[in-house]
Amino acid sequence: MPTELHKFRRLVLGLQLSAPDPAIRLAVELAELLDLDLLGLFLEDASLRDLAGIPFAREFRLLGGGWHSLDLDRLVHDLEVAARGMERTFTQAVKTLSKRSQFEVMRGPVAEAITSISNSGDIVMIVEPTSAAERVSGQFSWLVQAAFRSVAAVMLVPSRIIRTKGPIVAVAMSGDDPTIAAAAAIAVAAKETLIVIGPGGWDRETSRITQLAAKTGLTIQQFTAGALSFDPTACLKAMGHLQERLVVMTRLPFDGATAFAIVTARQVPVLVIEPDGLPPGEGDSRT
Amino acid sequence: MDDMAAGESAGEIAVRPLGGDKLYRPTNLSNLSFSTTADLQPIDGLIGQTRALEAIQFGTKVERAGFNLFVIGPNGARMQDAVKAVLTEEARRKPIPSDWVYVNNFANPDRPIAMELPGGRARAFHEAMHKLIDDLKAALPAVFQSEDYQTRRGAIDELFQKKQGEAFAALRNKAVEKEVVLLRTPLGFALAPAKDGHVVPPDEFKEWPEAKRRQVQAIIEALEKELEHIIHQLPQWEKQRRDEIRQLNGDTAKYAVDQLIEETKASFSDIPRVVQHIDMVRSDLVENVAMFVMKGEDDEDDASGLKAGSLFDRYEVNVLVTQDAGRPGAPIVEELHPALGNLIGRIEYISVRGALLTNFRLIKSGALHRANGGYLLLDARSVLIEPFSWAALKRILRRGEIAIEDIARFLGFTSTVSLEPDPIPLKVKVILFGDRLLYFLLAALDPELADYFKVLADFENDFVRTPENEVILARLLAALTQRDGLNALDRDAVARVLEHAARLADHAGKLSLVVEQLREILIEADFFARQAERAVISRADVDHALEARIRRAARLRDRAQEAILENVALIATEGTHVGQINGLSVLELGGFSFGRPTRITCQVRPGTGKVVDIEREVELGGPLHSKGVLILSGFLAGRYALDTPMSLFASLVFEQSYGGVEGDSASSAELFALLSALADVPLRQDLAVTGSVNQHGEIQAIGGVNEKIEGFFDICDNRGLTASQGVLIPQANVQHLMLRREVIDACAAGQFAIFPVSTINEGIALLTGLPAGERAADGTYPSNSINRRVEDRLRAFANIRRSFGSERTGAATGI
Repeated sequence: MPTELHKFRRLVLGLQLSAPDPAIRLAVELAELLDLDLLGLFLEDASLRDLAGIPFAREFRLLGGGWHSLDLDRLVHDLEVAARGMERTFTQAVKTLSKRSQFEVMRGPVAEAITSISNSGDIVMIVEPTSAAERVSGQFSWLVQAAFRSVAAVMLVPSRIIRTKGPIVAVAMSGDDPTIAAAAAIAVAAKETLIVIGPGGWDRETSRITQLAAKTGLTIQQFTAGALSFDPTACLKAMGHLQERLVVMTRLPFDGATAFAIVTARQVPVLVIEPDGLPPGEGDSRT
Repeated sequence: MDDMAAGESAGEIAVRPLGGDKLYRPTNLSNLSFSTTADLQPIDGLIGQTRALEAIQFGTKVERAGFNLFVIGPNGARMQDAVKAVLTEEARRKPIPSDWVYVNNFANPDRPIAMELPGGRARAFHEAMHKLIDDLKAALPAVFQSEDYQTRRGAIDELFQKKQGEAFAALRNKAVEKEVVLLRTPLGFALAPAKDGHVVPPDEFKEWPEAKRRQVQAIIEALEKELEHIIHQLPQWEKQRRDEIRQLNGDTAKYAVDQLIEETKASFSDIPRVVQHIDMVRSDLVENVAMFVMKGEDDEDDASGLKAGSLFDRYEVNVLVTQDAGRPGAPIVEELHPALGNLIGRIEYISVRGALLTNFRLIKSGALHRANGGYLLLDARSVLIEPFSWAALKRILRRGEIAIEDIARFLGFTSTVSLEPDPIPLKVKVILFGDRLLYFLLAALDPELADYFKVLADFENDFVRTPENEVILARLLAALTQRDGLNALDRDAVARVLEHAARLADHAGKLSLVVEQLREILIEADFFARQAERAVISRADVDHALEARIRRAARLRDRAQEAILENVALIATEGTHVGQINGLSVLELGGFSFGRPTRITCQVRPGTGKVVDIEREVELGGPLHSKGVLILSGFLAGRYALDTPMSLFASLVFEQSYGGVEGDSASSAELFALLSALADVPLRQDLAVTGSVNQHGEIQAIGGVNEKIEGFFDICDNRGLTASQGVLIPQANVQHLMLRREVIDACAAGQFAIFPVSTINEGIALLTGLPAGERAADGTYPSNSINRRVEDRLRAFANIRRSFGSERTGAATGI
């Protein structure tokens, strides 16, 4: 049933120098639920190697503190160690996964890596770093940009997930919004309730929702949120006191910033999918 | 018989055989009217044990340290049952002891707190705390998942994130403005020159003008300082965040737990110690609520997972000992396996990831805990053979409190972290049971025994066989049959069992109080009665049971008798022989005793006055046996040839004895053999002799007289009774006779005889047919008397020795 409701075939977990365990567990769970292959992609951005070539380059080490010159050999070694550590964590996490899984290390510009590997059947999962410094780092910024420019759907995962049970929320602009089918697929697999939040005039779409409920056996609740706008505040207000575990929305009319705002406010993952028929990168205000 | 029996002479009265009435005392139940024991009023508990009963009553009532009881008596006396019967009454009058629980010590978990509660309340406390925990398990997560909490928590996190985010965002914006980018490195952060939002490749950077490069470097250095400043602030911000979250958690936890805590406290408001503990639970909950609710958050490692049990277990109550509120009185606990842990309690461990861990919930009570406030019954031998138990018991009695000791830890067998639970005040009466030998050995070897077991209760082996006591024992038999569900005994069967009780007591005038032995007979007789489909046990069933017991155990006896009958072991039962006599010995193996005749021979010649005991020379004779032989020398020296030096060499031996010989019961037989050899007068071989002798020639009592007589009788009976055969026994042993029916019948028919003798003179006259002879006024014995012959022989030996010495002296001097 879940695969009939969505088009996804693969989950690409974008990994950088740090990734919280809960996020990796979430990736494994989602792959299982949606019957997806799982690719763990360790992205080693070329910018660090470039920096190491600059004579005065140095790094501030968190452990032990202080500034240390950046040595290329040492950097390569440290990156290798980080990649192996991430692979171990990933391998451990996917032990229980019944789907195909793979771990890869990609070197070079992040944007090129994401573009080259992703396709429209992918969900690229991006885990928000725990550290605020890391969130403003160039690598994370480039990863997010690359993901939103790609043809893949993007799942933004907060560094701290406050809820792992609860309804799946689809923020939809109409009854045939692809978010509803995708959210329904997840709700069916996770045996959760589906909540669909729509704009004013939503009553006209009731029959479609009813059909979906009959088809899937889902319990579906509908909420009208007045005029949903591009404003993250309106989105959050529409969600009110829902105890959701996941939000699904389209990249249009929303944008990456809205998705990030929801992730930060709700502390639950947000899946941003492409509107039907939209070319890659279109409408992403972050670019 | 002739008017003057063999050996009888003027002035000497020959010994007469005992009449049948002396050989066996039948039971007299004429005062008791009953058909079977079912008609009798059963009697249980202590009978015939007045002395022990007084001691027990005294010991149980004296409430002072050290006045514990040591109950001793024969095995099978069922002392425990008897003492329990007394204690049950006493315990009923005592107050219900306190309950004891162990709870977590929040300040020092390695030292669990012992808490006393009124008897019967511990279980309720345990259940109340368990319910509290169950409620908290539901309530805490609910309140911490509430929107209100999440909102407030989110606000704190957001503020923190915002503070950090703003600081780093400002840095990033400044960097972007100056074409610099912040990068995450494997070990930290770095700032790099950027162009179009990407790091400038090194080759391109090298081509930049020197001035530009220097300018960028200066910009980066300035930004580095800002980065460093922000990073240095992070721990402080993080600490503030944690403090705020802790405060929020505490406030939230208070809200969740206070009502539940107050409800729990209400039930125990009369026990301040419990209320205090529940308050401590509340404080700990509020303090550590994050452990229970926020587990896994804040990147906290689950170090606490290395605890035995769940996190909530710290609030549980370990009920160490609790009383049944519905059953009044003090406990009576009997510990059959007093290993150290079973006695004083133990601390158990569970394996968690290969490590042995423990906590207060794994403290287990010992018998001392369960008996506290009442009585603890222990078998002394069991306590002594269990490593460390005896020492620990004394230590606890000295301290007056029960401290659980982990001996394995003291000995270094385990090095894992253990507990030191609070000791629990001890108020128990310990009652040890053991046999007499054990008690006297312990008293001799352990001077502390008297400090901790000041009251001795010594159970009698038997009691006087009066008609009243026979009735009492008959009622005891009724109780035993009733208790064990056995068939009732008819009058004759009761009489037979009582007669057997006299035989067990080795005394016709006493009855054994070794109840277990009587019970075994009843069970076995019941078996035969049921086999014969009889509803009542008859005398024949009792006889059958007794015979079957003997048959089962008598293989060695039969082999020994077989050896005699086949002349492998030489025992003559007719004729006469100089210096040879039939002695009697008793062998006891596995609780079965039987008598066996042994040939004792003596050889004499002139010598230095030495009587050699060959058994002693080869170290087969025990000290008592040797003593008996040495007494013979004293007897000879005091009776014969008082004016001449003793110039005798005599050797005495137990023929065909290949094992040790102990006891002096053959000393009279040895003396008869010695006198026979000296007097050169043959002794009757159709008689056997038992009895010890003193230096005055008086025959003294010995043990096992019945078995000895029966042992010789069996040999004679097998060879065919001649009407002249019999046994000489000490007069003092007549009262002990409870012989087998066959022996009694043979005696009644004149086929066998038991001769009670009081002196050596009586015995030697009977054995030789010659008078012993009394010393006349002129100091001489009558001619042809045994004593005269002995004295003459000894003088002859003295003369020989004297002349032999003169010849040697003359030869030496050349005269």
